[in-house]
Amino acid sequence: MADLVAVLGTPHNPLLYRTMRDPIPDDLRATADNFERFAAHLEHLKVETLVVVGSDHLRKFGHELSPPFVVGKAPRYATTYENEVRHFGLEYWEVAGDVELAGSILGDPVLPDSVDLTLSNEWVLDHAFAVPLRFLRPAWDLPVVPVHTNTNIPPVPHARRFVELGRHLSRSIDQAGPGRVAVIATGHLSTDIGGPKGFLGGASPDAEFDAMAVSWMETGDIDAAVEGCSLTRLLEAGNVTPQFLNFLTAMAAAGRPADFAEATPSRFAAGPFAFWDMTT
Amino acid sequence: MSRFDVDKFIRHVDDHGDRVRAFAADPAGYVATWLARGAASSPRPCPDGGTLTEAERVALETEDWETLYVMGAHPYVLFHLVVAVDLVRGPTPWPEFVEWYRGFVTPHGRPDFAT
Repeated sequence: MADLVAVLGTPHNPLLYRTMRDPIPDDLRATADNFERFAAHLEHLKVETLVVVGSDHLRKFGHELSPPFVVGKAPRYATTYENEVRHFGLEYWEVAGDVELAGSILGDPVLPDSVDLTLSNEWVLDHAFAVPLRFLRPAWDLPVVPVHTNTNIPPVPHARRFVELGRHLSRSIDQAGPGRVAVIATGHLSTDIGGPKGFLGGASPDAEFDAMAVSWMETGDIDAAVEGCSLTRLLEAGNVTPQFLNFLTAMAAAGRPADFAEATPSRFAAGPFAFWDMTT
Repeated sequence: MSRFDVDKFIRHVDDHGDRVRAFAADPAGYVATWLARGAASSPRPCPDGGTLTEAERVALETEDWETLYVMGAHPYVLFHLVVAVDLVRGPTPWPEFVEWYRGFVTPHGRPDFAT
């Protein structure tokens, strides 16, 4: 039996990789501190495997094939696409995969009855996965199980399906072989890329949504989060705000209020940080 | 119109720097090659070619980003192609670039980008 020892939520803004460097700019100090603190928590909790729930940005999964939920079951992953080097200055990294845990999550040989998952045996991870891993585990020495959720290409799964995914992750980790596992959800609060509210210089595209989102995590109120995360409401807050749905997966995996939840201000849209210590 | 075909074209170009440079150097030529490859492979799926309506073809050839936004091109991929082309031609200072971009999308709100 594996132990789910931590659930985290972090941003994955790729522009942080180029901008959040020593000397850390004042407006990015709080973001850097949160990543450092979360990385220290993972170390302290002796985490052995990371399940990363993120949304590929039309790199691996595009309009040709857009599955709702995909679990990576590869022994090794490469990260970063060429255009992410050009646009964001990212580097190419590699990380091991945890095939056994991936199999448990997938439910080999029969998929779980609560959520329909798709298998991927080969997958280059984009910045949704690479950026949080780079900041949380710069040594790239923990095996991962990437879980893609389609939040970028309509139609996206209903919010309640993200909750089911989180509950399933928690259950399947409990039933897997021994190990100490953390679930990391990555996504956005209100964020608009190439839309009317994009790049407002640190102002939130939708401060009301951000406050509600943090409140849902602080209280663990999944029903309120589901009600507040209709696709219409999410898109109103910004065209990539549906990536907040990954935080519903984190909330459901944890199953209780977050120990820490914050909309961390920066020159970019506010970054979501949340932490659940599952050992207490 | 087909949003899928436009998004497919945009993603194809921005996937690699050499394609961005080729498109920026000769948008009409790049689009013509894309259409020719698409026609030659029809009806089989073609990863590096496709079909476009007349309005889509003209909008891509003339880099009429505003029209493409209104048509419902995926806002995330459209934005990054426009950035990529700007970078190739000599980047506009970022604050000016985002101001310019926001200026032409804002009047149109949030067009449906489902395919």
